[in-house]
Amino acid sequence: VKRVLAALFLAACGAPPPPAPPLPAPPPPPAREPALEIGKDALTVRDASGQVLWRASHDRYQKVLVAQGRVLIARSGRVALRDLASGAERGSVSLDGDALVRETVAPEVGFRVPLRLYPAAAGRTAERALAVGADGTILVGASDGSLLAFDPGGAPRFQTGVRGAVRSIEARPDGTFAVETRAGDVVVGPEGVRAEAPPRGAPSLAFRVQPNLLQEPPVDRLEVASTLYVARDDVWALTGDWAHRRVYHHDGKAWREVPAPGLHPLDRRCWLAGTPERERRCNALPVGQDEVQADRLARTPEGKILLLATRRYPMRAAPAWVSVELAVFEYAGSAFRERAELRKALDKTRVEMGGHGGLFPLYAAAPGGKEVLCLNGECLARGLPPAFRSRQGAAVADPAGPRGWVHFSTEGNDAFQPIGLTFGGQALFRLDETGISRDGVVVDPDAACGGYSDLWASGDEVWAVCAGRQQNEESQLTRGSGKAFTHVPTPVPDAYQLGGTGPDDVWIAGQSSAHFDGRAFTALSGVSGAIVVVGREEAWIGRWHVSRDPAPQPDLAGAPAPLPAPAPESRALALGSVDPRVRLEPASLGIFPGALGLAQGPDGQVWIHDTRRIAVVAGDSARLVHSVSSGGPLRCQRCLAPAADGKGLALTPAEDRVVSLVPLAAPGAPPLTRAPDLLALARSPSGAVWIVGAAEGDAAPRALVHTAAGLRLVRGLPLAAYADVAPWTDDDVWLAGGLSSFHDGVRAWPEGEGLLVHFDGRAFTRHRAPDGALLAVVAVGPGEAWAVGRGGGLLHVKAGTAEAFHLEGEGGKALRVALRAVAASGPDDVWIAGDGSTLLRWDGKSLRRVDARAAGPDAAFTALIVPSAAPGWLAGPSGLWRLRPAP
Amino acid sequence: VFPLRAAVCLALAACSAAPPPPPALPPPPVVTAAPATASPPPVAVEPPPPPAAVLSERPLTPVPLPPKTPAITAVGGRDDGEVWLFADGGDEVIPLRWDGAHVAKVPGGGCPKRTTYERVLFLGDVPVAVGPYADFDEAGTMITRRTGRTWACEVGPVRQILAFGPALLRYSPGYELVYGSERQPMPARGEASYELRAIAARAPHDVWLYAQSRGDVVHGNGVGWESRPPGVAAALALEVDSAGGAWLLGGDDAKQEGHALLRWDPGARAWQRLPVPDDLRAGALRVGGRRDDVWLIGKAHFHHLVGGVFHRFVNPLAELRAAWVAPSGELWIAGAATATRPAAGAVYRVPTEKNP
Repeated sequence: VKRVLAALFLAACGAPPPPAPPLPAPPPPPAREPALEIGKDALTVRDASGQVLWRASHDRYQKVLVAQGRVLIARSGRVALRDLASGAERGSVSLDGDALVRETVAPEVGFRVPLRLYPAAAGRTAERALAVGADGTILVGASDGSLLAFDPGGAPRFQTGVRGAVRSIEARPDGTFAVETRAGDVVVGPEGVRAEAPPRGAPSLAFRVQPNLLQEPPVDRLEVASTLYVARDDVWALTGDWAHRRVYHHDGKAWREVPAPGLHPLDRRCWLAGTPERERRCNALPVGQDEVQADRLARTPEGKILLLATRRYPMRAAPAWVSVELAVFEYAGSAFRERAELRKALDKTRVEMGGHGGLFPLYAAAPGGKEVLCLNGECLARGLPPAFRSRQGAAVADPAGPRGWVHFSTEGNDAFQPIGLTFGGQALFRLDETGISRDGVVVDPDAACGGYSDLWASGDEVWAVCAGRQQNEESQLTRGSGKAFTHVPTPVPDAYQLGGTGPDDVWIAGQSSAHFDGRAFTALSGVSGAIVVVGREEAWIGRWHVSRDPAPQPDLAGAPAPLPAPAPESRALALGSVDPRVRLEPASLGIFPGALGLAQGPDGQVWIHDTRRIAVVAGDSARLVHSVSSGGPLRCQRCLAPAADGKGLALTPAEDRVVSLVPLAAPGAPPLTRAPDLLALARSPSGAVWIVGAAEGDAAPRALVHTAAGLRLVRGLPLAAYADVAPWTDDDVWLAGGLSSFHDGVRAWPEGEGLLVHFDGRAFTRHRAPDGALLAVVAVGPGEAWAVGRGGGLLHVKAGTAEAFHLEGEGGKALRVALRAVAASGPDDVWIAGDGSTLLRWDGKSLRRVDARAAGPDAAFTALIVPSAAPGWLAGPSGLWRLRPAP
Repeated sequence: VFPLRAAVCLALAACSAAPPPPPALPPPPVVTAAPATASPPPVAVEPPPPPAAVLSERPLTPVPLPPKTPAITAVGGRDDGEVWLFADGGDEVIPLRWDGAHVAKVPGGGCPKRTTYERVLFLGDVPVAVGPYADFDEAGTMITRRTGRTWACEVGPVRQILAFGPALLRYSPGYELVYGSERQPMPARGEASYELRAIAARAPHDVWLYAQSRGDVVHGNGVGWESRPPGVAAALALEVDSAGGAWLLGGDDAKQEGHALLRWDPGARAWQRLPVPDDLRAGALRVGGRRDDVWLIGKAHFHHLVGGVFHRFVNPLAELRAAWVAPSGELWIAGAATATRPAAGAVYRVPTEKNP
């Protein structure tokens, strides 16, 4: 409908949109222009003599700009216009659903212009922002990162895209716009984007990430609640969910379970039964049938291994409640035994609570017999000042540090809220919801945090992390000494955990992690979990062993691409008649009823993958070379880079959104790297494999190159979400994607404005794709490539000149199907496949359909190999086909 | 202020007077304000005059049930000789089986009470009954499988469930779509997608989600999702057919029976609105195996569209709870014979027109 409206618009006007009617000439200016005063609750305009010309109400949510004799008052997606001299209302510019509306007074002419979005995943709703610039330019931004500029009469001026959702736009007196996006602040001028949002963090391959012992069976398949690392051949893990905790020990060779006979779960039938069955069953439990749930492993200064647990009794009067108290077990040669003599003392820690909520023991110890043990604000301590026996609770960091102790207290039921710091038992600073205070006086209100999630200290150095003061807010990192605190920008937006060995060796972790070397952070994307420090610049983070790479490969740096001007609208590319030379024939490869990806090695061998399996095609069957057993499906569609002799690289899912780059035909080999949302890889004629990804975080790698020498980070390319890569040679490489990223639950996708980046070995060049994100690219010759994507968009670049097309179907109607694959045997033989059983062939002159009825009317095609001497291949989730010459 | 807004009819008026050129700026690229989006436009074709429904004279065949069988809430079968029915006995669920000639009670198997089975699926040969489970403080979906001579029960989150081949396709609105144990792509999360609470599918890679409350329809092809707005206020029911299309019962309000019938034409990639009899009011639809073979099931009547002709039947049930189209083309309807409590169960077989 929008397209039809736009066509009507153009047809009615008979030509490109008419030049815009400018705002009517303002009244002849006085010798000196009236002056606008912006007060707290009023706008006041005075003439040169200071006499008030007019007043209007005002509040702090309004943004006010004076330009061309008008006052522009912006608020909530609407800009009201008034004459500066008279105060007369001159209508408004506003948003009404998917339209831009200009209301005005005669004789001016208003308008209503439909607004576009880039093609996006279904289900998305758009939010928009609007501003009117000093020269009358109207700029509309949307949550898909689109920016549409119109002249004062509503004629389109340009369309372009920025990274991340547009949150707000503010017109500035110099004629530019300050655009706030989810990725940062962008400057837009009347000609387009002038400056993009600077990156927040940079990727790095300075650290090696290898599986740690927690990835060895049987612990690899178990939830890990607590890890204690004593030495490489003395590692302890507490595993299982709350009802099935077991302790394992690794002696350098294998994990072995360590009995803990005192641990036993509560009768689960009681807890899992529905109401009122639960009441009946729980009440029927004999008195004393308690649950002892292990929560944490700890080590005393003397080297004893402790298992800290909670003993939970159901409360007969209120079966949904339990009474909880601490229990301590100690490893005694072959098994854990409860320290029964402590039970009477630990009885003091008893609390009552509903259900099985998290109550975790806190423990720390230091040489000299200093120990403190707490549960929910109830602490037992020995060898320590009285403050540690406070009912305020405690936890301890750096027990062996030169300054002794750091102590954070709990008030209320939340074990980590707020924090008070004491050194040597004396309060120095306090961090809580009011900020940092000293001697009861708040000295830094900006550090206010209602929930510090972790604390780490080494000598004078103290770090605290506040895991987001409000929902969706980024974590705040506070670093201090005995004298002062500072706020440290964190490269881990959701950081909640800290660890380290000293001020120049600090780890932080959230959904990703980072290392601080005393001067700067190095981001470790795709590595998350609990931090267990095992040495200097060496830690376990979750199930990964992270250590500094002693001989890292240098980054492959290219000169950044200059910002391209907004792209012109794409040209329609009409589909010609059906190409009679090719037919589609259903293929059967046994275990592959359908497939997501295909790749051809240098020896002509065809590799195939679906969501779980990678195989080499051999005649009419497929030989399995890799199976995905865990970590989620294999959905990247360009996951394979076959080499000769059945070897090659593949992108396989790890956990969450993290993808591993793994060598095939090398069973048991550790991944070469792992990073979030890696989506595609392709082999260049040199044998180098180029890898790209579409992660959201700026610190995640966007492009990597793997050669025999190792893995290199590609630096300098535009920050974007890349879905495909096509190297013609290593100094003629194409990367295709979009400016933003969307995750559909199984993989990331580029979204927003499309972009095609070229790397010539020294510098990057960037081309905009006006019809939306690009999903696939093929290099068809030196310096020449075709890219295809969402919304039926195509981009052809040759000799540095880009031309954008969109598909046009029958009757001149745009065919807005997603195009997901492109392959070519040369510049005049390009094959394109996508949704809606779309299979097209470009012969250098025209684009024709290939009859794909054999696949049904609505199949998705995700991969193809062009026919050569051998028949081609076409794949999608619903089937697998050969492309053969028609008889 | 004189708002011109819609009256000015867009920028057409702007063409009438050529204004002076804009201020000096670098020449802007030529763009249109509104290129089309990826979504196909809603159907704008006016249907021809409504056809009249033919009141069918073919009698409905009652299916004899064991004495004192309470209201039937679910019906479904593998073929005409194996049909499973589930009756709501208040404190117990009563499974029943039709063997081609008779219906007999099948011993139940200790599944928690308070389940109302709504759907019968088949995992290969294994019948599976699915329905909402509610307790005082928890709610979910009960999945009950026939394993040998007993039933195995599984309570999970609130989900829509379908079966394909050896595995279940489970849909939690706005959260996840899982086939077997493998997560499938989901539409973008947002206000609109959380309303996509109903599911229909031809295969795990050919899935429709729709919002009964608001007429949104999206289609997933195993890789991505496409919005396919049918242009109705409420998408009451959607089922797929074997020709790659989908049928949609639309209405003005999710709380009322609908009166619009649309078919997704996969070749044209558009919804086509079909003319329907004036008196058509339906809350559910079922698709048969033949071309253009659709049952529209309402409280008072149900209509069978086959061979381009609507046949109307009077609903004999006081309360219609379930319907299933057998491979033979017959419609099975089940529910309660009486509106009083406790309701007696009743099942009818509705004949199809032969070779229309």
